[in-house]
Amino acid sequence: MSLLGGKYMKIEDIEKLIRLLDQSSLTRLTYEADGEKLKLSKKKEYPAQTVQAPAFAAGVPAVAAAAPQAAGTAVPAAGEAGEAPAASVADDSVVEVTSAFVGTVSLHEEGSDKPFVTVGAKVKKGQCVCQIEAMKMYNSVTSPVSGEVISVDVENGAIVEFGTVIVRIRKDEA
Amino acid sequence: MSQKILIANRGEIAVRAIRACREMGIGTVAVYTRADKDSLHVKYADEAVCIGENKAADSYLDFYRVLSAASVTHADAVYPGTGFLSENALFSKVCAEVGMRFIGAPAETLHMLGDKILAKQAAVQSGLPVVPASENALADADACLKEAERIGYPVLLKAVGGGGGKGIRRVSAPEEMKAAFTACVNEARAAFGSDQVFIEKCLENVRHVEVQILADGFGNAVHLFDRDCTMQRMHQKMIEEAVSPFVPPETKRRIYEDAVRVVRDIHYVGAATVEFLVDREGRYYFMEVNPRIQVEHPVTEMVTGLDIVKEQIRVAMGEKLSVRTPDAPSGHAIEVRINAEDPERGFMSSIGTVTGCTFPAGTGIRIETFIHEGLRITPYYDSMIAKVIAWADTRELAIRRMRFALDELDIGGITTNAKLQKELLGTEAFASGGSHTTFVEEYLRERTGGG
Repeated sequence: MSLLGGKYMKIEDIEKLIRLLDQSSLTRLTYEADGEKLKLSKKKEYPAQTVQAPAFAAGVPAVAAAAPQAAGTAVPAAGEAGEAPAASVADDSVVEVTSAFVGTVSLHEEGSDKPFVTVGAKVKKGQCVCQIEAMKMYNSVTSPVSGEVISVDVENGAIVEFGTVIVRIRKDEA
Repeated sequence: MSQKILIANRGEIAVRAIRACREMGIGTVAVYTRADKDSLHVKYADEAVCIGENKAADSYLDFYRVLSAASVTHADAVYPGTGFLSENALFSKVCAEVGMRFIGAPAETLHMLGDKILAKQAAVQSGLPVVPASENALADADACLKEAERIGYPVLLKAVGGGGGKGIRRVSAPEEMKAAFTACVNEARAAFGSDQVFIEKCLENVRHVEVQILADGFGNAVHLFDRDCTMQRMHQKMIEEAVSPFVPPETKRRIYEDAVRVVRDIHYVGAATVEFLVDREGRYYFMEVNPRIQVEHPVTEMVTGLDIVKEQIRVAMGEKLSVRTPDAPSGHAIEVRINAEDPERGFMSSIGTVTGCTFPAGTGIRIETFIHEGLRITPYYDSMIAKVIAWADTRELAIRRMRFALDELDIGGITTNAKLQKELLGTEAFASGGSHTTFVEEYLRERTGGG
């Protein structure tokens, strides 16, 4: 029996999947049941998706993959990038984009060698920086800010967990 | 046999499962949230994956996050423990669809047992005595009034999909019905996503007695005696013992037979607990079947010398049961749940960093916990932080041993219910069997009233 309850996919089921895909942060979805296969993909990234880990309740210790207010842990790395040795300045301007999912990182678009972002590249708020795949579902990780990529912290094909830092971005000055 | 099991839970039950896997030579994957990153289950598992936000709905309850972690770590089975996804029929089904072994009941069984009305129908079919109740879900307060008239007050309003003592309201007279109905529906909707309620006769002065069952896929089902969980507060168990000292042997024999029969009739595979209410005259009533490991399983393990979690894993892997009912229970075991809460302030959750942590030890003492010095107790999950289990040859000695153990227990930085638990163990009602399922609430009312 398929997840959707019937032996064969019905048009309503496909519509349901499309709606689910639309409302989700997913960009691609492959569904397979009873020898039937359905591949759906979205052209545009879902702009509202922000993977930046939100602030945690006061007192709960922040882990290495930090929210902006805990970005102190990221300072050495930012410093290594050669700029802004004055830590307090670097703190506010560097944003760590973290994974909201568990899965395998894909730094390139499917079937292409072209990476989503590279060090030094300019990114816009909402732009996709990588995709994370698990169980044949692809989730886009998007930048919460516009700025310049100062580091890519994971390798293509790496397995990441919730909170793993994917890239660091120096925010554009407002 | 499984090579690697993902433990889809947290707290002491996750630690318990990891220990069972280790002894069986099975690899373990823990999943956790930021709030739980220093918890012992993360430390003890072979691998650990952070799966999401602290909120359970975005982590431990999220199918996709749990299964993604299983997938990337190449786990071949998921152990759900208690609570969270353990009784989730849809999760069981999704696991089957994606080829992940779920160490629990199949979706159809969970669906049936999770629906109180269907579960009761199954019990009736197997010839078990049940509490008088409405046959169907009731749509409004008027329908409830009509049914209550037929059954006789007091009655309980219960959520059809409820559990863990949530979604229950006692109604002692018709004029209370309307408010109780609204409250019950709201609670049911918030907690279980379903607003169906039914009505049941409220039995008073009864004990909670449950039977531990293990069953395999070859038609073998055995009982491992009973547990008495009469000491509860607001339907939340506080103290459990094996076996019940206050149910006559003839009643027990019939309860065991009934429990095995109902589980066998529904072709259940795995660990299950069949819960009953037993009155002073030895009449008993089926309540429900819990299709999972129970928090209080250690007391049964202490009096049988068996490992219920390992057996659960074995039968889930398609093996035959390797245990049978022992000739008789050996000695007596008591479990006390230690919660991070303040009984003197309305049982408010206690949150903070554990500044010191000394657990009792010695002959017959067993501790199940996930905490240690430096761990932060957060408000996101259940308040239970440890279980203290005391075993002895006799019940009297087990109680004494437990009371000394609770004196030795020293957890700094947060407030616990340990003192109250020791006090309850010292009551005449607990010692002599005069307690019943609302004894603790009455005791607390008198205690605050007197002070």
